[in-house]
Amino acid sequence: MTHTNMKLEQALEIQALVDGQLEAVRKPEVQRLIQEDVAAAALALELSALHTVVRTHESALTVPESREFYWSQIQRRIVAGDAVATRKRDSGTILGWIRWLAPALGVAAMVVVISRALIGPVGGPVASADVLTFRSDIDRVTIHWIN
Amino acid sequence: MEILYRLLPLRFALLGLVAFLSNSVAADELKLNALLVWGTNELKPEGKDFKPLPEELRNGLRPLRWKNYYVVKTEGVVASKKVNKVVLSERCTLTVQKVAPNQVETQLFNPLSPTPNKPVFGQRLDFKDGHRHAIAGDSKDNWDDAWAVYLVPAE
Repeated sequence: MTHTNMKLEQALEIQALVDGQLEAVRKPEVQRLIQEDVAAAALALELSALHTVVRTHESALTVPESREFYWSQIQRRIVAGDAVATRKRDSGTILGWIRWLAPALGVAAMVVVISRALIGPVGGPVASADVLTFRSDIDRVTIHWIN
Repeated sequence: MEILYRLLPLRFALLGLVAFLSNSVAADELKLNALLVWGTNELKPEGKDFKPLPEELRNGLRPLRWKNYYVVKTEGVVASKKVNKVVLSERCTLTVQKVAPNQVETQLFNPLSPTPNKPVFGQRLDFKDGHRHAIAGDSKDNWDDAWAVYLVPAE
């Protein structure tokens, strides 16, 4: 049987009604459709018959293991999944630190290199931080101005 | 006479050793002239025997704004392995210590300051190829004047 004149949404709603999944709000309208439209009625009948057949002849699936074994396996999988998630979170934390530290270390390295380049040719530690230095290679002199 | 000939190599060896030792001592020392300089826009005060700073040294102070620079005092100081001190004025004491080839740890103290043992300046200065250093600041005695300690390697 074909239902070419019916919209797909209507067909799905009829199927949902047969399966008992249709929203209560939509039920009156879909039932009215089935009563008024032949194609809709035919589809509903067909789906109901199929539903009955499946329900009647459906073979029950049984788990070969005992109930306790079955649930213990599920529990093991859940615990294992938690452990993996924790490891991922830990490694994520380490990676996060590295992401934060990498630029800071880069800046620190640059500061060390620049300070060595600036201080290196002139001299070592500065006793007072308020010393400005001006170097002239032409005059062969370095002025250290104390503020 | 023969014995003198026999000792000739020994005498050369001793001579070489003396030369080597004297050279080592010289290498461990750096002779410096420390000039206490007064920078001012005023003329030289009456009755003071201040000499103008030599032009070559004065050119090195071009970044500073003062018109006249006078040498108040000149002291020779030897930078060696031990700390050597020289008093340039009642407010200015200089210490030098050679810590590496051409490198002199230099400190300036103001004995009249509330913290006379704390250096107002302290740096390792490089005197390679005759490089000079001028440590300068505003004068505490005369407003708008400046002082400088010019450290010049002795010829």
